[in-house]
Amino acid sequence: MTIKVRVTPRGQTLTLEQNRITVKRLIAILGLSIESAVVVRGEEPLLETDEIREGEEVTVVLVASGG
Amino acid sequence: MYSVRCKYCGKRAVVSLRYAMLNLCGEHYLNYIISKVEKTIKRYRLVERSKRLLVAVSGGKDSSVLTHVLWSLKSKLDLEIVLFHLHLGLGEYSNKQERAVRELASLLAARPLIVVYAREILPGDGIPELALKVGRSTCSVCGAVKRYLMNVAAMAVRADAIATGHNTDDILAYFLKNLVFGGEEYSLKLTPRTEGLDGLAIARARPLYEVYERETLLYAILSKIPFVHEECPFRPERSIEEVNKDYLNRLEERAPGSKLRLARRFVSMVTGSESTIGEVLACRYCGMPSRSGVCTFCRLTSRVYGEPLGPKAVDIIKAKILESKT
Repeated sequence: MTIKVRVTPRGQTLTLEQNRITVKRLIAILGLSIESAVVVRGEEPLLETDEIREGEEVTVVLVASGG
Repeated sequence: MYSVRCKYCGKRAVVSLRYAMLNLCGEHYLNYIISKVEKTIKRYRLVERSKRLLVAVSGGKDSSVLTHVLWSLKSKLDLEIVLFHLHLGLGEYSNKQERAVRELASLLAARPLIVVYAREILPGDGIPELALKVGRSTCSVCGAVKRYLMNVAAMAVRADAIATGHNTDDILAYFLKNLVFGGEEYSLKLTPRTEGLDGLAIARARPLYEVYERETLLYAILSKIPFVHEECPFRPERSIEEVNKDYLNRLEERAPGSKLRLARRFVSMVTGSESTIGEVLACRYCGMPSRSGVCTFCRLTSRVYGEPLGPKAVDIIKAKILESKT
């Protein structure tokens, strides 16, 4: 099973072959700082200690949009 | 089973503020930010005299959050708020921003909202076309035009201050840039409140001075306000400000509270410093501030269109203000 990750506003999507992963680990995999992104599941922001499980979809919203 | 709970109500926490060692649910997080902004307004005396603020709202997260927060504090602080949006003529990006601003104003039932289009003032051109014609970067022309038109609008509504959505990260990123590349004198303008010049320029207030950029994004998401979170099509590949923000975020991650301490240290460092920018004169065409007797806007537009368009901008904005009252 996989976890789907969308990175916005970059418009990038990736699929992780993982059963579960913490937000903190996901941010590290993406090479980001925990201060530079908010991870959202549905409409709810997640804490860095929260776990994302297989079959779930999350959005990593980069803090600086470059707007 | 969730283990992290809101400090105030015990509901599931959705925000963890490491520098404050505080876990909060959505509702208490919004209240926390509103209270933080109120404290900033009082601590730095951001609002004085008439309490009339021209809030510059672009449709991005920071200025939209600023608008929402100030609207929440409006009665308590006895604020009079005038919303000002400038459509920069950046294609669909600007159209989306305008829609977001109008939706936000409608959601808050916020009036007046003054919307000015760059293309109305510059004959058929948006900011990118003007930048191309003067041979300068779009960002530099955009900044100059925005500052000019915001000041014109604020003067016309007799605002006490122009409130902008600059957050802690913005301020520190500019400060570092000025420090590294020269231009320290411009850092004096990066304080929570920059005083105006009698009859020439309106003061600037930055109520989100102690709110991190990540906090404004969280507020925008949790409050469900309309905002545009997209890259400007004209942004440079990787700006110095962006590199500085990355560095500051790594520092904050390693030592929570670093950005806030640095912002406060910066304020105490520059408080009382004299500006070295020199004498400011009234532009001979439009009466706005200038260093040489002709303001940047009138100089740019004279070069491109053969006449200074400052007076036209002043007339258009005054007409928009009248229109917004009807």
